[in-house]
Amino acid sequence: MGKVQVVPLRQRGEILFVMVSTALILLVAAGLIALKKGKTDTNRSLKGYQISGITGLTGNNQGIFTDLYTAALDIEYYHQTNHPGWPTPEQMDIDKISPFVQDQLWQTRGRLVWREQPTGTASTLVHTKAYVGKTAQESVAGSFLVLFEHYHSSDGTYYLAGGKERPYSIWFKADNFDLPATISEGTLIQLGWKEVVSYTGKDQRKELNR
Amino acid sequence: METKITRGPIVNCANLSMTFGKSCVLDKIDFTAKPGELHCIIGPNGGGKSTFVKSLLGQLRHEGSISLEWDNQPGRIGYVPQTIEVDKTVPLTVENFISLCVQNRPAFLGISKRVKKEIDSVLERVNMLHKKKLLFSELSGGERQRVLFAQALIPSPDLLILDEPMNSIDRTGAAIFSGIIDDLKKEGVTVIWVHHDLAQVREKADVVTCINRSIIFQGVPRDVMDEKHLLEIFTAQPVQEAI
Amino acid sequence: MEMIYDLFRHLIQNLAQAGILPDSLTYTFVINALLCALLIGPTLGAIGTLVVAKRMAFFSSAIGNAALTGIAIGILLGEPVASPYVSLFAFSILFAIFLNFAKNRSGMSHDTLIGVFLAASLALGSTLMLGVSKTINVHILDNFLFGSIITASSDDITLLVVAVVATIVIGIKNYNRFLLSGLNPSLASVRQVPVMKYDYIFVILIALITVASVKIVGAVLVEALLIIPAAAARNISRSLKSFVLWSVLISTTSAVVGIILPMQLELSIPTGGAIIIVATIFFIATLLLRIIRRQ
Repeated sequence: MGKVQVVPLRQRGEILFVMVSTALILLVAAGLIALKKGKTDTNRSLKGYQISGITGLTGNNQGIFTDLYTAALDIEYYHQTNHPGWPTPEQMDIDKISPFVQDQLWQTRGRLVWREQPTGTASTLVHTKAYVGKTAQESVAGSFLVLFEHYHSSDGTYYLAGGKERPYSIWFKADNFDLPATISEGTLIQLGWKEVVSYTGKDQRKELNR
Repeated sequence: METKITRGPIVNCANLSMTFGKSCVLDKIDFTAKPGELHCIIGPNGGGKSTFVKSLLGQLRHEGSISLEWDNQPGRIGYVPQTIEVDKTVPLTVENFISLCVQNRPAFLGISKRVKKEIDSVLERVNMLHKKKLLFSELSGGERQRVLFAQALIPSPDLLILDEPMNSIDRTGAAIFSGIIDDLKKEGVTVIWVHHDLAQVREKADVVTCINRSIIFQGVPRDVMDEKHLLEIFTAQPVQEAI
Repeated sequence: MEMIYDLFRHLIQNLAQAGILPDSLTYTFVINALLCALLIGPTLGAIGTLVVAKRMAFFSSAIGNAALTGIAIGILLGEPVASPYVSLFAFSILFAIFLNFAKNRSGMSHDTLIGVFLAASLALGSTLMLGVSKTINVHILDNFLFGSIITASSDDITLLVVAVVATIVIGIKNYNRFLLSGLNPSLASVRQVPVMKYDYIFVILIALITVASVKIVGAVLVEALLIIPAAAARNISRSLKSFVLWSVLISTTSAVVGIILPMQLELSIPTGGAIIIVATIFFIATLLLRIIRRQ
């Protein structure tokens, strides 16, 4: 004989669930936010097609990269203030901007010949721009390419595409200089170009604050 | 007389009460339903019949005691609801609905092979097999209710509770319902049926209970369904005894 | 995970360069966009059938708007402006839980209750946004309102994948229970479905998929993509199977077309808007079909 009592609907379980889940969610959230604030970029690992500007390049190459890195910001700034224009390598030579300026240092660092390289993609939506510096002496330094990519909405607001943190990327090829017909991340990687990244823990909010 | 092992439970309510906020919807109800019997519940609209049924199913916060006494293991409860809000929200075929109720496999992926036989068999029993691909919205009221009934038969119920399932029934439907319930009774199933068709209740029920917040009358239909009592079904207050 | 994604992306880029695929696919972010469309489309299409069947359109709308408040809170707490995910998730899920709790306990009409929650959330969100706008460029927030496939990063995609997988696995496996709970809770309960538990799971799922899609489709319009394809499918379906199938199809097509077409045509419109416009066209088409068939 089995006597089963029909239990009235008890709703205390619901209240408990709501309170526990609230506490849990808040705790986890607080923890994650605190954790994220403490993290820096230096823990990120390199992808296959990337090399570190600090440990992956030596000597002359590292010097060129550092200069290019700084110059890229100036180029970007120029483009924004003289929109839609970009500075030419000749202009930057005159303005004595390394590594475009053909000075003594340039002579010893492979005598890279810089020119503007058409990226092969024309779109009013996305603006890309590439500068290529081909080395004259592969034994001294490799070739570099700096690729700018950003997007303007119809009201002129400026965005970075695809969640990137910087409006430019710098690419390096030690030897067998070759350029793809269309310049993009994928096509560069296919020809053996490596993206040079430096981890200096940039403040992301500054990047997007224009 | 040999004692049968009954499938269905003895349903017992002692002092069952239900309050929604300040109003008392059910007031100290004592009730017993036995296996192998058809126990009908009648009463005026708003008198608490549906509330009573939902309490039996353990879906409300009732006071007092409700118990099910089973002969062996606790069995399966089948419930036939009054209606289902389907027309406007989702295109559900008869087949979709039954598989929705009965199988694990998502209903939109079709009928699970495991239950296909059973589903076809209950649909056949309520005479809806040939209409299994029709949408609910394309069925008549009576056909819809037959489908709702079919669902309660999988798995075979030991306690069957029907909540006004025949509001728009046709004669075929009524006969079908009747036939199945007779079969179930023979197998010792306990059947509780909230019904408004008094003629049918008088004819078919073994026990009848009239609920209007409290028990108005209860007993064998032949005895208790007389004129005075029937009048009470339609009034809000219990009828005064004529002096 | 990142590696697989990179391989896939570079492959597409090379195919696009070779002319096999539309040339807008040379851009990384367009490929991102396509991936998102193929993730969001089917998921919202499938779950949308449940939202419509359970008459929870308004509810999901409230959750969508709550996302905005979550974003504002996140930015104020110092999260990355472009992806304040922790606050976004936390707030949206808590919002969903509390709204469902209030729905169960307050005895108020659902319509009114949801309306109040929605308005309160918007009020809070907009006030916080004002404070936030002093520190960051407000245009970023436009992206969250109406979606911007341009700014979707691989982090967003990873998040979307996780949300999609969770939603599909839980949503499909328990489809019958979710649907039955909505059609007749009493019956569902007798059929051994713990209705209250599943109601909570469902609203949390909606919060999850809404948050994951906010960046791409926009907070204001995620719920539109939950409802419109399902509603359109409703017009032309004669069974649950075709209902779900059509909803998924229409949703995915709307997402893909809404993302890729403006790119190809060089139109600068918010992603969410484009997707919903396409979905609406489908809806009108199916509505006309239905009206014609009835004559």
